[in-house]
Amino acid sequence: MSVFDTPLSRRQFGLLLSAGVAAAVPGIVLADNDKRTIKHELGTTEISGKPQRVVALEFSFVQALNAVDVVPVGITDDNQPKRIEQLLGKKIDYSSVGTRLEPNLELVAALTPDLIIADELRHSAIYEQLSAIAPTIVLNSWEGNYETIKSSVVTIADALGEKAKGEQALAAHEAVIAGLVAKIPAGEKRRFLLAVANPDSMSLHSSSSFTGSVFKAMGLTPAIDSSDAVESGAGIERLVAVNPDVFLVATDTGATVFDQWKSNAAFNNIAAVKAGMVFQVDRNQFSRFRGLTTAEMIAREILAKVYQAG
Amino acid sequence: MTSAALPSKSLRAASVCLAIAALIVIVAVLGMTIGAVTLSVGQVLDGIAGGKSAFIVMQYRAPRVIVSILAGASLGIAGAFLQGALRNPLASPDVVGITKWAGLGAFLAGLFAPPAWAVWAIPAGVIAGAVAGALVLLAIGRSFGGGIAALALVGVALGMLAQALMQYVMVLFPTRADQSMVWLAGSVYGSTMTDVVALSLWLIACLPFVLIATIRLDAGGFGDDTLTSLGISPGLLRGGLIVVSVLLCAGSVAAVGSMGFLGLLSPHAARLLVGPRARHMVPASALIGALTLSAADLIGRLVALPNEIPAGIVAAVIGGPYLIFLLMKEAGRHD
Amino acid sequence: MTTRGGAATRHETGSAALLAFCLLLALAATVLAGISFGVSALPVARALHLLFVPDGSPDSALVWDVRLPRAMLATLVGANLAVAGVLIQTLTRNSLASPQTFGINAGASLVIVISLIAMPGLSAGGTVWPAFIGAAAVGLAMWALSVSGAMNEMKLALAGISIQLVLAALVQAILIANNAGQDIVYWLAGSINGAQWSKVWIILPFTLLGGGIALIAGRHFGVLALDETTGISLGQNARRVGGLAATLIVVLAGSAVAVSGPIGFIGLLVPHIVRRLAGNDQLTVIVLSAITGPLLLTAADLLGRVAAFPAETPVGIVTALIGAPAFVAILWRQRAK
Repeated sequence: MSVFDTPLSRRQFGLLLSAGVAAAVPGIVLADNDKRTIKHELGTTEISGKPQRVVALEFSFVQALNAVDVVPVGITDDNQPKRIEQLLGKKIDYSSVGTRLEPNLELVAALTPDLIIADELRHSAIYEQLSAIAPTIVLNSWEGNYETIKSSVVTIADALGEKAKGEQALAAHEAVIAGLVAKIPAGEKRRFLLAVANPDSMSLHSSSSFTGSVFKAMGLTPAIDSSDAVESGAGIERLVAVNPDVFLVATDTGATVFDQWKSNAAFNNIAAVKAGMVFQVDRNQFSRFRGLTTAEMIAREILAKVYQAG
Repeated sequence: MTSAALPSKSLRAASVCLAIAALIVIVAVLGMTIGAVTLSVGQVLDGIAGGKSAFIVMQYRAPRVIVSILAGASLGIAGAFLQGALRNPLASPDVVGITKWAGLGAFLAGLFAPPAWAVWAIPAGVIAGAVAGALVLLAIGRSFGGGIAALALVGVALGMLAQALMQYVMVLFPTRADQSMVWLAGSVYGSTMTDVVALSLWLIACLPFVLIATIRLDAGGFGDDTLTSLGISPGLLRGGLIVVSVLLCAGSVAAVGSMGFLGLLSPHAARLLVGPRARHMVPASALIGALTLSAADLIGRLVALPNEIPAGIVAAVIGGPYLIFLLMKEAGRHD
Repeated sequence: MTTRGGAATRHETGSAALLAFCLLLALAATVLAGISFGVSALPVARALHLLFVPDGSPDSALVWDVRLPRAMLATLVGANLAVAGVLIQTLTRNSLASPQTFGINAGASLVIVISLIAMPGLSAGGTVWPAFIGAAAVGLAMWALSVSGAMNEMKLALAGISIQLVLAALVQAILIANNAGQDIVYWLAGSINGAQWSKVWIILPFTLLGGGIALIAGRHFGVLALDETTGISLGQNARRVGGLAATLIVVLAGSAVAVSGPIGFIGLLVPHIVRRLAGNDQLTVIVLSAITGPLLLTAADLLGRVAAFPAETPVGIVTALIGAPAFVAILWRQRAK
């Protein structure tokens, strides 16, 4: 006879129940004080409790925090608060801590943060000093693709002690994307290219860039397949050789080569130009910001512009 | 010179140096108290003891102040030696290409070394680059006959070559262009106590050479024939001065990036204040370099809050007009 | 033998003409090579055919709207810089002078960068005027130093380099402050990647005007090459001629920097090469430089496109990588003097 054949006596059931509760209670009690070891690009960092005062040193981190309803106390906004407003679609209360290139460490320290989120490429050199101020996690934002940004959201949520919330936000986002992608006609074989227009050349974003990998996630084909995220200094000849079918040009205000190339005969031989599939988009949204909301916005814009579907 | 004049010159030099040192102390104190967050002297002392402002004071401002003093001093000395070696008041580590080669070494090291090793790789690259540049310079200069004009100009050409290679690197990695430019401009941002210790040790190691070179520097002012008749090899003297200059440069560049400007202007200001004798001029040049760099860093931190302007750029902005003034003065002199 | 005042004898004119013809041939060949070569390479015969019979095909568009303007731009910029180099070396009687070593390129770059940041809507054509301002300011400073006579050749060159370094630092300052370094790192290195017919039309009038005046007044510039007292005794208004030369330098160098960024070593080396081949007659030197400059720059651009194919290396980097050792070679040759 196995133990399952014998019905539980009431006493045994009571014992089991209390044992179960006893096992669960420490879990509930510990949840507030447990130390989490967060793995990030420069190693691991131990965080205890739930950080309340977060300093974010890149735009994508601000978006990730927003996804779990956290407002950072400090952001490196390059002294352009309007960008943060554009990023989140609303005004938030935060302190500027300088530029993403050189965050002002004094201001960061003065905010007495309990978590700092930094970018691998730009802030590795000051990791030591940041760690002296507060527990710091370093993630790949500037050169990160869609997958990296998505996993960063969970990592950040975990650092905040809200891993479940992060995973929920991610799942919700993926549902939204799936819904948008469903509106794309099947069998889309056209090649999509995002290029950032500079005063004298264009930077072509490949399949490893953030936008390129969003295209891939949407089932669209990026025009350049490469492990280098961005190809810089591209001239017309290179663009003609790439010959995208759908061409998105990201610009800031100001004169760029795009205005000059529009009247060039070779440019007009590009498949996208001949098909009328050239669209000018905001550089902030398509290149700088990077995040879950940004990915959704990219998907919506593609739908609106390329497929004229809501 | 009568024997009565000699001590008074030394006295004057000493008092000038003391005055500059006092200024450095003032700037250092300002550097510790003023910034994005203003602290009182009491709070600073409290921070040193490990109190509330410990991070800002000990991890952020103190290393910056100390590094800017040490790096500025070594650049000042390096410039003095180089100008003595080339007998040209317009020589500087920047113009003769040494800081550019150091910069190239740093760029390449930063590229090829894994990020975890960067702390060691980049200073190593700096030293390798500076030494390589100096060796090529001396070798080519020697095959030219070791003349001064040739050395200076070959240095210029080599510097242009290094600059082109650095630009090539920036073109290959444009997303890092901003960071590269900050480094190129010269910045004390991100200095840590590790930098302080490393730079101090390096300078202490160079100290004996500096002393020897200072003693020999005055001899460099004599013509080559005089030197030979005195039993001193001009080539060796020049080479030695250049080598010490390169070593000092390498240390500073590793700490603060490619800031050669101080090597040009500090010796001049020193000569203006205390005269050309090496034992007065070299310490004065060191002190002026230290003062200039720490003041530049302080100004850079305050002028555009919350942004920081790299110290090298502040130095260039202030130094630019001074350079023009200097050139005008040179032009007015007929030698 | 050159007569006093720099006029050439008939014998010299003959050999110079032959040299000019050979250089023109080389230039044509290089331009043709540049038009054929590229990411989508064309056979030379086809490229030649398309030059004469454009047929609206994509290849034709490539030749006429991408590669030909690029070749034209290289030619004009090369000519501008070379002639500016000749003039500045003559004017300052300094064989180490050039728009680059005297900081003129850097001055033009600085004011261009300031204008681009301050007025983001500035068109490519609009950058010419800031370039002139910057070039003129530095040119004036160096002119003052040179005329004082107290600085020897080397000191002046070092002074120019020092100024160039300061100006470069200021350019970096502005780019860092505006996080714009990434955007114009190609232009800063000196590049004709973004060549357009519009840019060609921008620089063309300055090349024609400046070059034309230089040719017409070429004989007179020869006087500047002699020392000042001789010039005065020859009855020339040396100062007026000098002023004209200075204006031409600013116009030629400034317009070149405006369309292609600060390209170095052409202005420095071409006069030396030409003088080595053809003597010191000013007019000859100017004409031959106006051909050799384009030849070298077009060749450098081709090299830049071949070397890291399919990526393009900015032409300013190619000229520096080749020019710096060449500069050392020139110093070597001069050391005996």
